[in-house]
Amino acid sequence: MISALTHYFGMQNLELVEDIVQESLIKALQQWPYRGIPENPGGWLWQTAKNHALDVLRREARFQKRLQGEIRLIEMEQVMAGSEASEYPFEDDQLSMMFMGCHPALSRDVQIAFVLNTVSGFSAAEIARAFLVPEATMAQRLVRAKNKLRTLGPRFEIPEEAELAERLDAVLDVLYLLFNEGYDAHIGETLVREEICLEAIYLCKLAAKHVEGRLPHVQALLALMLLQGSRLKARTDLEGDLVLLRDQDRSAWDAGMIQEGLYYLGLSAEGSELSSYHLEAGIAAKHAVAENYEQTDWAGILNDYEALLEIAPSLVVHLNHTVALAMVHGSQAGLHKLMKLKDEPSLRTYHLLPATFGELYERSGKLEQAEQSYREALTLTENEAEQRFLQKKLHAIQFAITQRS
Amino acid sequence: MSQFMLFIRNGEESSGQLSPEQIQQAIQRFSEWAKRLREQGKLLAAEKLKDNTGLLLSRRNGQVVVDGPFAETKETIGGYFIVEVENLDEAIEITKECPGLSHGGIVELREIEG
Repeated sequence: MISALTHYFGMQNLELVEDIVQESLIKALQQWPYRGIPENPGGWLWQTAKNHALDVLRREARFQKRLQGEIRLIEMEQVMAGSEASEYPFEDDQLSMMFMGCHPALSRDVQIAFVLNTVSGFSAAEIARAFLVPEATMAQRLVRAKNKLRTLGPRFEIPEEAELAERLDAVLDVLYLLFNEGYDAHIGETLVREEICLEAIYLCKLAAKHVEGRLPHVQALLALMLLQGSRLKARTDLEGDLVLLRDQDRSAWDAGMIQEGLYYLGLSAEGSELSSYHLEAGIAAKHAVAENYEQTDWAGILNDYEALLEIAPSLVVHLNHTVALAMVHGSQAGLHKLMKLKDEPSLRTYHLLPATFGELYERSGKLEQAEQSYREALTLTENEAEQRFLQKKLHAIQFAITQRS
Repeated sequence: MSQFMLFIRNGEESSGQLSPEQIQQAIQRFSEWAKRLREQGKLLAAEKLKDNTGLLLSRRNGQVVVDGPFAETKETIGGYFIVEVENLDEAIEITKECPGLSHGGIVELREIEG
């Protein structure tokens, strides 16, 4: 309980927290023998300590800036209030919330929103801005999630062994999506989105540090996030437009995060397990240590993507594989693969397919075909930042065509 | 069968001299003691008295004098248990086991006149 309270009120209030815990325990000692132990002793103690802490905080103005923590507590209390069977765990509280929020009864979208809101303390408005949905919609989504969890009465703790592995995978999946939501620079507010990335890293670190979470694939995911996260500052320009990996200022990459990422990648390699997180982290590491785009270990990256295609094939992996293929074996090889992908029904409306076509045509000097591909890509995305990006490409190609003739 | 009343006077746990672990152990022991009595059907009533509310009223020179509330928790009665048992010996046995006796607590045992 001390750790839980300290987490919310800060290390500087440790003494206060210790006092409060002491007083709550004494209260319990003076009350429980007469009335019997309450059905939810943990909840009782937590409630008593929390009320006391809030009283003290309200009195002392110097804790004003900790209001954020107070809000978080109230949120947690609201979630807890409904589920009587639950018992508040006093350690690993954020981790437990995360496990609870990743309950299979909730959709991924809702799980992500719930984790951001309840675990990380982002407001509904902030999350709404990051995900480009109206604030009211997000607020409703969160209320529904909390109601749902309440009716389910899920145990407010890290689940037992059998369920644990499954739930852990859901947690990792949510963290991975959370990170990607923050990382994909094309929507929402940059500042909030960066915070989301850093929060995902923080939460993943909690999971990786927990005794049940010291697993290779957890460490691999953490490595992946750190290595990708190291490029956060470099991947948008002053106007907030996307800067491609090739054009990024590598000196702006966060060396500390790269180092940390490589450390966890090393840890993750100690088992025999090879997850998709391992492969993706391996790819990110190869980019992170490369002098420049051309001198990157593309052959190694190609290998990683091929392995990734076997265990976790997705559109994005296919497209990235194509890029690696083109870097190793030339644009023709890349184009050849794209031709085969083109008939995939699910890719028909995916703007990155023609965009990749455009890129490879451009590299092989087929400017008219490149122009046509970029035009096609433009019709498939409604996102302004991406449209700006493709427009820029299109103008450059058109300029190149006029120069050539 | 006779009924007895146990007045629990708080010990030093109130003055915060125990570690959280010691308090937790005390809670455990005390609650188990009460639970056992309850399960055996020997516990008729148990109430905690409200903290810092005790007043002593007396008449001095024809005037009613009100003293308190007491600041010194050690002197005050924290709560009471009413038990129904065979005889005084059994009541003494039960009281001896009362964890309220540890850490400087005092238990006053009185038989209720039937």
